Amino acid sequence: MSIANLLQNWSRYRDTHPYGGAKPHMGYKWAMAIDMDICTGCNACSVACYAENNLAVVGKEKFLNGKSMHWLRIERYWHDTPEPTDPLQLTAYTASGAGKHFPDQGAHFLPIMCQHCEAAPCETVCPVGATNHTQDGINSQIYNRCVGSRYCLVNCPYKVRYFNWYNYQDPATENVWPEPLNQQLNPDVTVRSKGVMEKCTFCVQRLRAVMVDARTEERLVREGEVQTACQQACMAGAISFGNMLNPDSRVGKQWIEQGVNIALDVQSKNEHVGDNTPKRGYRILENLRPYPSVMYLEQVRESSV
Amino acid sequence: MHRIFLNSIVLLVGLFAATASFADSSTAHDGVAPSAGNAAAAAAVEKKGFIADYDNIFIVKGGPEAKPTTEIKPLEWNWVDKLFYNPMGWINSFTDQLGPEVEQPIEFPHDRHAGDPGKVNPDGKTGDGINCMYCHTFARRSLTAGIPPLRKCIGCHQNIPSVRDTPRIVKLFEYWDAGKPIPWKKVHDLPDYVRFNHERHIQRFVFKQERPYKEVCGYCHGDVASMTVARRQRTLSMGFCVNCHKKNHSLDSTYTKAGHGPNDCFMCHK
Repeated sequence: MSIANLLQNWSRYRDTHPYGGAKPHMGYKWAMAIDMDICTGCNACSVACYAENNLAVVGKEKFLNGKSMHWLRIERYWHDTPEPTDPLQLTAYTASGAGKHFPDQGAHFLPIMCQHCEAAPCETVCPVGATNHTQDGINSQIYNRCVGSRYCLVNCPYKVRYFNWYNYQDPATENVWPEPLNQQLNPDVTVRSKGVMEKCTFCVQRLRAVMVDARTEERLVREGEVQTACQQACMAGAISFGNMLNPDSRVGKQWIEQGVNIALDVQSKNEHVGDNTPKRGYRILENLRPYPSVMYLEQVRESSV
Repeated sequence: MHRIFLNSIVLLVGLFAATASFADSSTAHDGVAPSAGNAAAAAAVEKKGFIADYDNIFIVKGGPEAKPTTEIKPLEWNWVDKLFYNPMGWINSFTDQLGPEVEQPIEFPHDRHAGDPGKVNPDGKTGDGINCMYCHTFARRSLTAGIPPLRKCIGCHQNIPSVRDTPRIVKLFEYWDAGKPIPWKKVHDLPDYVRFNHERHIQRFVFKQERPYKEVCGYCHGDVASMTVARRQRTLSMGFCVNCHKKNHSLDSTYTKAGHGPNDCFMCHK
C-alpha cells in the first residue's frame, strides 16, 4: 500500500533520524549513559553545570515561579511503600505519616538534562531554525538566532529547555554576577541575554576543543579525551559520556551491553528477547519516539534481587 | 451546492490516487524503498540497528570519504537583490568596507616589519619580510592569533641601535622601563557568540596545503603588510564566513575528501 509505504519510509525524509545509517554522523555520535544504581543524588553534576555553562542563579522566588535555569536537574522520586490493607492500620499509617519521610522511605534520583534526541520534537517546530541537529548528533541551540517564541519548550517532552525571562547579566536589574563574580564566567560560553531559550549542549565548547586537536592530527577524538562538566564532577562515576561510534568508548560498550538501540523505541529490557540476562538500560519516554541519546541504567532494588 | 461538494470530493480522491501512484512509482524506481513484497526484508534491515554499523559508517553517502556531489556556488547578488534584500550590503558596496580607524598607543608599522624586502614603503624604507606568525605566534596552535608580549618587541629592538632614538621606539622603551604592557586595542573583534579558530585555518592552508602565509592570513585580514596600523578589511560577517566555507578547498586533485569547511551552526556559534 502506497500510503503505508510513505509512512513506513517517513524516517528517510527526517534529517535527524538514524535509521539504517542513511544519515551518518561523520564518525561522531556523542551519547551519554547514566547509571542510576551509582547515582546518590548529590547534585554535584548540577552545580558543575552551573559553573561551566554560565547559568544564572535565579533565586528562590523565581524558581518557584518556574523560571529556573538549571540545565541539569535532579528529579527525586520517593519509593512506594505498601499501604496496609487493614483499615485500622491505614488510619494509623496516614495519621502518623510513617513511611513518608526520609529515614523510613527510600528515594531514587533521576538526573535529567537535554536528551539530544535524534528525532527531536523541538527542532521541527522552531520558526527560525535556531535549534537543529548537528552532524555529530548534538541538538544545537543557536542563541543569536533564537527569537524566543518558546515553541520548542512547549514541544519538549522532557521539559529541559529554559527561557531567559530577564537579562541576568544586567547590573541594573538582575545582578546575578556582581563585580568580582563576573570573573567566574566561562569565556568559551555565551552569557545568554533576555529572550532566548537555552539548554544543555553536552558541553559543546569542550567537544569542539578536542575535535579541533583531533582534526589537526588527522584522527578522531579518542576515548577519555573529553569529559562533560557533569561527568567530571560526578564523584561516583555514574555518568559516562563519549563517542558512541568509537568501539573503545565506555558509553558505546554500555549501550551494546544493555542492548539499547538508538534507532528503536522498544528495548530488549522490555522485550525480554535473546539471552535472558537481565538488562537495565532504558531511555525516558521512548514511546514518544524522539530517540534520545541519553541512556539510563535503572536502579536495582533490593526487593527484586 | 451539494454538486460542488461532491465534485470536490471526487477531485480530492483523484488527487489522492495520483499522489499515491506517484509515490509508488518513485519508491520503486530508486530501488531503496521496499515494495509490498520485501517489506519484511527492509524492516529487518532497519532493525539491524545503528550502533552496530561501525564498518559502514565511513562508506555511506555523505561520509568523510565522499566527494561532493554538487558544486555549491556562492550567492551572486545583483544590485536589485542587494537593494531589496540586503540594503546595507548595497550601501556598503559603495564604501571601501574598511573598519573603523583604531587609534593605537604606538602607531605600529606593519609594512616596515612584514612588508616585502624588495618593495619601498611610503616612508622610504623597505620591509623586513618577517613572518606574521613570528609575532602572532599563537595563530598556528590556538583559537586566537595573539598579540606579542612587550618582551618580544624588546628582544629584537635592544639589538637594533640604528632606530633606537626614533619616537616610536623611544615610546616602546618607556613602556619597557615602566614595566607596563602596551595597551593595544582590538581591531578584529568578533561577537561573543562566535568561536573562530585560527589554528584550523592556519594548519589547513599554510601547513597542510602549503599556501603562502600572507595569502592565507589575507583571506580575512587583507594585505596587512602594506598597512601601518592594521585596519579591518573584510566585513567578517556570517555571510563572509559561509561564502568561503561553501567552496571546495580540496587539498589537491587526488584528495578524495570533501574540502569544504564545516557548515554546522554549532561549529562556530557557542
